[in-house]
Amino acid sequence: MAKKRKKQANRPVAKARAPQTPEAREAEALQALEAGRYRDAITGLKALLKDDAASERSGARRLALAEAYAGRARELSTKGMLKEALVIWENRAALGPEVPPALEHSLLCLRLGDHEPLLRQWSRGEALSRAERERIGEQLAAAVLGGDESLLERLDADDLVRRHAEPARAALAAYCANEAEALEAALAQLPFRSPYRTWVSLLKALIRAEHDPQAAREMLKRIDDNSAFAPLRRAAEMALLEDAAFISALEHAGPRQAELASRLRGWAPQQLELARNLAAIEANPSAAKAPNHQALQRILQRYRDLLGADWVQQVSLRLLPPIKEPWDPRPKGWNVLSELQQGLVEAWSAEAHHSPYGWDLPELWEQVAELLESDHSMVDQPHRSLAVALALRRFDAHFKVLETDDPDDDPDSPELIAVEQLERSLEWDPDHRETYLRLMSWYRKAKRLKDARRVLSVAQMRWPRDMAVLEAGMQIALANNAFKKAAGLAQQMLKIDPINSGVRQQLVKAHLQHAAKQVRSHRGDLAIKELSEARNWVGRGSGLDSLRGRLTWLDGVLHMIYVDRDAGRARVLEQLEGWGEGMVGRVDLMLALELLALRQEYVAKLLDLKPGKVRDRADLLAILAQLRDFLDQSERYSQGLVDRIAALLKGAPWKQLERPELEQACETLRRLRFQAARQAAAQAALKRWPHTPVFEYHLYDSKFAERGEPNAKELERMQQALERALAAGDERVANQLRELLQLFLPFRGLPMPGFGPDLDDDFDDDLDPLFDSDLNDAASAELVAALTGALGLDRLLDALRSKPLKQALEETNMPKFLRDHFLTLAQEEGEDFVVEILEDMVLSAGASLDGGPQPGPNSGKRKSKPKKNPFNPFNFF
Amino acid sequence: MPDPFLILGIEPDADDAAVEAAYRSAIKRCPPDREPVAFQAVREAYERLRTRRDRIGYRLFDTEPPQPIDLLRRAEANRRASASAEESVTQRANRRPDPELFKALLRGEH
Repeated sequence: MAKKRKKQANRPVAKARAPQTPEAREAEALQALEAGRYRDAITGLKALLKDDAASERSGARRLALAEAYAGRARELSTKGMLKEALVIWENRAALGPEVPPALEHSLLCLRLGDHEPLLRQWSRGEALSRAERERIGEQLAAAVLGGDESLLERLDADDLVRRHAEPARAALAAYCANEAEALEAALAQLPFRSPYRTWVSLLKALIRAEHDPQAAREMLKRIDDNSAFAPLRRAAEMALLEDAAFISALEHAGPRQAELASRLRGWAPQQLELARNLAAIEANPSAAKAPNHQALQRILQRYRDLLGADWVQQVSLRLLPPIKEPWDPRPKGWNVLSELQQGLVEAWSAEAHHSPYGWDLPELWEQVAELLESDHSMVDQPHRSLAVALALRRFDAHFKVLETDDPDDDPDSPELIAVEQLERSLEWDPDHRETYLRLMSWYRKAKRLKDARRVLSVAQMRWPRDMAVLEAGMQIALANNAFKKAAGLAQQMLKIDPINSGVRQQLVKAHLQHAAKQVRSHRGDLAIKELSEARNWVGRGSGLDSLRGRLTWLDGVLHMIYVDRDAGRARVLEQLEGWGEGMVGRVDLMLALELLALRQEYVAKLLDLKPGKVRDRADLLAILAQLRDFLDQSERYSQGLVDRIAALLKGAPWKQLERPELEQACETLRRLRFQAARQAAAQAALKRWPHTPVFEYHLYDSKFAERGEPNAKELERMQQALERALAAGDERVANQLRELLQLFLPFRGLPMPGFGPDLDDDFDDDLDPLFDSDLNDAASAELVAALTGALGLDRLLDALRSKPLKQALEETNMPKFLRDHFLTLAQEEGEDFVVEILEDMVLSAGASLDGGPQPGPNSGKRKSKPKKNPFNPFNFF
Repeated sequence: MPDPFLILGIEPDADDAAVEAAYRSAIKRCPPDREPVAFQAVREAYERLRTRRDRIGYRLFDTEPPQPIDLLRRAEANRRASASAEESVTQRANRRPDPELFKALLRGEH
């Protein structure tokens, strides 16, 4: 119906068109033919031949129509519509004797079982060109090999297709039966000019493929795409593909082609069946993201013999449905698994669904290690010890527990559990250097230097010349203030690797630390001596220029303090002049003084330096670069340094910096905790690029880093910045803002009503210096203000009890992000739940303002992250 | 990631030398300049199985849920392992295709 309507709709347009001359219509049809629009060309030319039959152009038009028919027939053949294509070819043939017969027409007839047209052409013999003869001969040969007996009978007795049919068939039978001699004899009977020549090439390529696939590929390339043997060539080429490409090609191949290719590859029929079953799984749209594990399990079990029982057992464990919580029911067939297998599945589940309330992951891997020790299937395994060690290392290896800069030495901490497990793993596998290194690093950072030395001594016995062990030893010696030992170890490392500038740097640091120790003991002579030893190590090293310069500063400064005040002062001032007029030289001097922990004020006084300011963009950028370099090399710096640099940066020309420079500047200042300068830089940036999330983050983080709390408007701006960062896909800034918002919860993280799980009942508020009850009162007032908004306490409670939640919240004018959060929570948990929470919160806060029960001690701690509480609505950030 | 043992085409109990040899042969087949993706997969597989400790760890604890291609590769690896053992002429002949498959394709079947 739709089509009819469309035709009717078009009719007036067609009528409206002006009648065209036959010449114009012919030109239009020929244009369509040239553009490959064969259907339009056929329609146009047919109509023209009918309407203008008497034209002297009819002959030419008929030939053009024949060309259009041929084009259309080829189109249909390409699409696999062979019968439709044949009809078109027949229409073409019916145009008259002036249209020459087409070979493709005959070939299509042959393909569809009618060999008469091709035989007619074949019988024309000498009238055909050599190429045509070869092509027809090959087509007939292929048809004969395909089993067309009636065709063979129609050929003359001396026809090459008939004469060579027998050896060609014998060759096929011999190849398939793997009879090399018979195959050779049969191929020998097929001369170069035989119509079966391509067949001979194909069989030779198949034989060659078994020993030399690359040569076989080259041989197959010589078989033309138009050849009658091309389908066999394609199957043979497919069989020679790499595993992954072959498996992918199977998906697109027809069933016969896939079968032949897989057999040529040597696959058992079962393998092809397996491939087809797997393709069916992948074809399922629901499996687009992850294959259906149940279906894979079924296939694994069905083809257990083909895949190997051990492998099937091993991977089947990984396909079991996850057990998200320890109390969840176990999957079907659980009891069939051995204890070890059950332990492994539980440990994997715990890794995938790790949470503080659910699985105890270290305990589970501990159990796996115990089961590996006792499992009867493992007792005789040569790798049992290694397996136990690996199970004990798994917790740390998976979660990198020991890679922390702030070790937690609590006996129940995950870190200490991981440390104990690693220690025990060395009993099973004492040759794992990485475990020694991890333990030494953690012990050093946790200041458990005795343990670090114990592990080091074992590692040094095993790997006396190992650079990583020597370096760990040097770091432990430095942490122990054993500078001479550290220097000795560094020298050993330089003997092994003389151009290692990292070692040189560490050695210089060791000498400097020793010199700082001498300075503290007022032993200037020894400090100078240490400094001169340090200079020996930087003299030759590349990439140590800044360190070399700072040692020169220190040399002058120590000379000024301990040897000759005027001469030393002159040296330092001369060096300072060399840096030019800006403040960059002073900053370099200040950073050098930090290396020996010399008092900044004292040295400045000795040098009689006047206060200065950074006024120039180049100077500012150079100072920031120096600070970054300093941060990369030093962990500690004094408050004196912070104060003096902060004074220098006061009123610095931040607005002259470009956006990336400002971002980098804010980051450097954040690392140094130069909050005032950072705030100034962020403010300057926000004036030029308002609402930029990264600068909003730096502004608020620096503003409230040390004191104060953001008000509701500032909180909302942070929330908006977070949304903008998320919209821009800037995950890093989004995370920073999220963490910042978490710190500034209304009430400073007051525990929710009924939830004070981590508070110690015996805690005495008065003993906690961080707890300030005034602050809590202020916070409670803030919460009440935030929640009640324009309504006031009583009216909010009434509204909550009498109106739909959404309406009640809107009436409060509370910040939108809070409102949104409560509404989301209501969708998840129900409105009653949210109303109950809000009532409790408001009542608790109100009570605390009225001198009622005070919130717990944690609430007074600034910047302590709230413990994750499943019911805390403020965890939404 | 697909099973690294199957990518390198090595047995679970292969030793260091076998892993090294399989890696070298695999990177010859897919050099980084011509087949960067395949090379990357081979490289990652090698990194995961380089030492005995790595291989035992992977087999026992790191085996990932198999991808469909892993099943085909495993079947192929098993076939190659059995084919490399001594095979009788009859067995080899049995692996050659049936003549009817050639005929079917020549008749235009797909």
